[in-house]
Amino acid sequence: MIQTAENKKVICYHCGDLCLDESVRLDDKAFCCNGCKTVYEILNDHALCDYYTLEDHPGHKGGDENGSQYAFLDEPAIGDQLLNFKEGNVCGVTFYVPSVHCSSCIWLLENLHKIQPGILKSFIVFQTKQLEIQFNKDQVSLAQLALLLDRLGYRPEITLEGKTVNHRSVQKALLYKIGIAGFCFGNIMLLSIPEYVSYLGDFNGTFKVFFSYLSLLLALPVFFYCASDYFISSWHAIKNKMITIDLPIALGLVATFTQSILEIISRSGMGYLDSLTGLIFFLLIGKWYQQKTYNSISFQRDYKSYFPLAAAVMKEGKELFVPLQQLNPGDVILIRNQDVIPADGVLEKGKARIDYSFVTGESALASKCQGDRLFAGGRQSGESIQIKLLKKVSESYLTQLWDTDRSSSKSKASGFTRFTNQVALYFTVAVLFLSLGTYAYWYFHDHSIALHAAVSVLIIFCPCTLALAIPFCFGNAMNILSKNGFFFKNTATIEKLTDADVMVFDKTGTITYSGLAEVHLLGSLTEEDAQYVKSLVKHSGHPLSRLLYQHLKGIKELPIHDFEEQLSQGISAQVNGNFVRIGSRSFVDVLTDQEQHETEVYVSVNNQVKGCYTFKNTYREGIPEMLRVLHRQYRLHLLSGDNESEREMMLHYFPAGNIHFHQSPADKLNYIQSLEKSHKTIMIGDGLNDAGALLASNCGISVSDSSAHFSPACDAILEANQLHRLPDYIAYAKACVNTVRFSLIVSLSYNIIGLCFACMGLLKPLTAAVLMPVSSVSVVLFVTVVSNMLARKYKLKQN
Amino acid sequence: MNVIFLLISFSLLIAGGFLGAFLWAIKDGQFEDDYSPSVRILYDDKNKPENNDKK
Repeated sequence: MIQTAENKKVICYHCGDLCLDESVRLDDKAFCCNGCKTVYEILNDHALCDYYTLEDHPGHKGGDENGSQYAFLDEPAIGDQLLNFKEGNVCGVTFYVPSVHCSSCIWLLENLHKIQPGILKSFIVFQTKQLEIQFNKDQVSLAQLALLLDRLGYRPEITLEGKTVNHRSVQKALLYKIGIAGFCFGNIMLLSIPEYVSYLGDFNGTFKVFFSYLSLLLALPVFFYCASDYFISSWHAIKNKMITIDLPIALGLVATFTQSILEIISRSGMGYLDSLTGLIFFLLIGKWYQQKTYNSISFQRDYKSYFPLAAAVMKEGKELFVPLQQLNPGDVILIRNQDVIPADGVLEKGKARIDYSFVTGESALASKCQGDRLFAGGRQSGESIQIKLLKKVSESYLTQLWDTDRSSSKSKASGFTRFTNQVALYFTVAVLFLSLGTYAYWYFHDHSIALHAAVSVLIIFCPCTLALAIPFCFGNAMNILSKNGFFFKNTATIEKLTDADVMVFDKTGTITYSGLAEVHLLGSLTEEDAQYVKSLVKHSGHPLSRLLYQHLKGIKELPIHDFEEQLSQGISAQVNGNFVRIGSRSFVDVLTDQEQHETEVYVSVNNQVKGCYTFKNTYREGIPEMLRVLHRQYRLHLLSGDNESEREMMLHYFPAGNIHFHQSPADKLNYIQSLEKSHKTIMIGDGLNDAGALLASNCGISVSDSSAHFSPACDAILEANQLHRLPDYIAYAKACVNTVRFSLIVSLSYNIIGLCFACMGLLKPLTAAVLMPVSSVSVVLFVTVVSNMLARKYKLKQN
Repeated sequence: MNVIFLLISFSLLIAGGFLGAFLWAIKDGQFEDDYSPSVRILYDDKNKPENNDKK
């Protein structure tokens, strides 16, 4: 076997990746690929190399698109949908650019006008990764803008959905509410102080009336505006015959407010407006803390965000861009290199080499001839092809899969956890029972305070501390886990993660790397043979050729003649007078009866078989250890769309009966659905081929090489290099759930103290005003401190 | 003691002014992006000198 000389590791000047190919250089700077070099050239030409001084290796690989990919944007019917505004020549557009990640990105993207004349202003919103551009449409078109961004390595994600999502207004409304609630709460507290200390002296007459009406005035916006979400959501819950945690809270709020108004009007007291507004203020802060997550990561992507906006339809020899929804069976569409096939169809013209890796998990390209059926979701690589559509976009095989998921996973949609809902149920029943009981008791003993006591029970037994403990504990846990590369859709997911008993893994891309494969050589090649191989594979674009080229790093290349490539068979050429062939068994004329299990490439020189390269997936770091740990706690299953070549390996980690190969996306979905009947599952997968399974499982975790990359709809996204820490993360989540349970006991004990006052009809505004913040603040502090301590225990990064 | 009515009204007005400022800041988007303004201010605008010696 030939040992490749391990050169000093060269790092790409642009993106910081390891340079596998030594030939890409410019100005003494090494680049890992031509994409990166192109970006550098563009920046260098426009004197924007400050980009590289702000951060080290800030770049992303530039796209090598030829421009046709964005051509549809110049079709007014489509392009205008994306524009924010249009006044004369000046247009505004917002792109979602997931790869924005550092200050260099901000600097470059806000200096776009120096690269492309016609751009008037560009502005980045970092948190949402949105790039707002104002441009003169006479000088630069929308397609040119998108292409420029792509070339620079900031590929804009343009989808049908992009326009509709607006996270920001939700967040803004919550901030308004917090501001108003905080203002009113502070002032009401101030106005209530005379009432608290009324035993010190006379607090009566006009002052009392003035103060109490002023408090009421301040409480109105808090009750009707800031707390409106609680009333709306409990109303929905009642309509759907469900009990959620919002219901007892809303009940408590209404009781407190009504009681306060009655007291103020009857001039018997000042009511509990201070407690009411304080409570709402704290609850809103809890909500904000919980929502303060990552709007830049989308968990709800469906096939629409994977497909382009429009396709080029061939009509009378001309290309016409038509939005995807308007494509009909019978239309002939043009698919260029790297385009995604939007709907099932039949190949009409051209040679298709389809990459179905995203749909099936199979890494090899599939070659198709004229008349073959092509399925939506595949990506063409090679020449342009024409496809006659058989189905509408929404009726294709892949999109159908999504739609069936929709209906089956509806129950997952609600953001509430099982635990909270159970507790809410007990709380609601207990509150109603206790308050009726109190009323009944006092009705017979002391008629005058019966109503007051019953309402006091409603006020004091509000499960506000519970409503605070969960957002603060899980919100903090989410925050900490996100710093460790584990992103949750919402706090409810943390609980879902902890109550599973079965774990299902996908193979390719999840526990193995999707791209980088391990190359083994069977047989022996001389140094010379290796040079032949390297010289040949350099000229082929096939993924296996590229892998071999990287594998043979440091070996000299020779000039070749008569290079020929047979699609999905192999390549041949003359080197130094020798006839070299590299490719499949049949191509190289290998005679063997051995069954083929692995992906293999044979090499022959002058019709003599010299050896065979086999390709194996490389496991991600720490996976065997992780599987061993998980094996003790869970029943592990493996679902792979790939061939069986690695069954032997997998037997070490998975029970033999639970390993399944050749699984189609629909098989995976059905498998999970049948498991879900008797178990709670965690599904861990990566591509679109796992999408159905991810949605069907109790908790779907999508493994992604970068959180900005496309990932199918799921409950949580885990960065691939952190996958081996999954057992720790789950243990941490479990500990956090226990913390919340414990804090429930703490808050219940506060409630019981208050309840004693309430049942005796002795609840004074002062008691409520002291008990309420003390219990809220102490529970919040408790869960925050404990969840931080637990993070240290499980060695999670906190900053 | 009746001056208290006046004082409280004034204090509420002033506090209300601050509330208004806060709401204004939200509307203006100051809480949407707490990262880029902090780095944006540090970028030197080297545009002019470099434009001159551009080839």
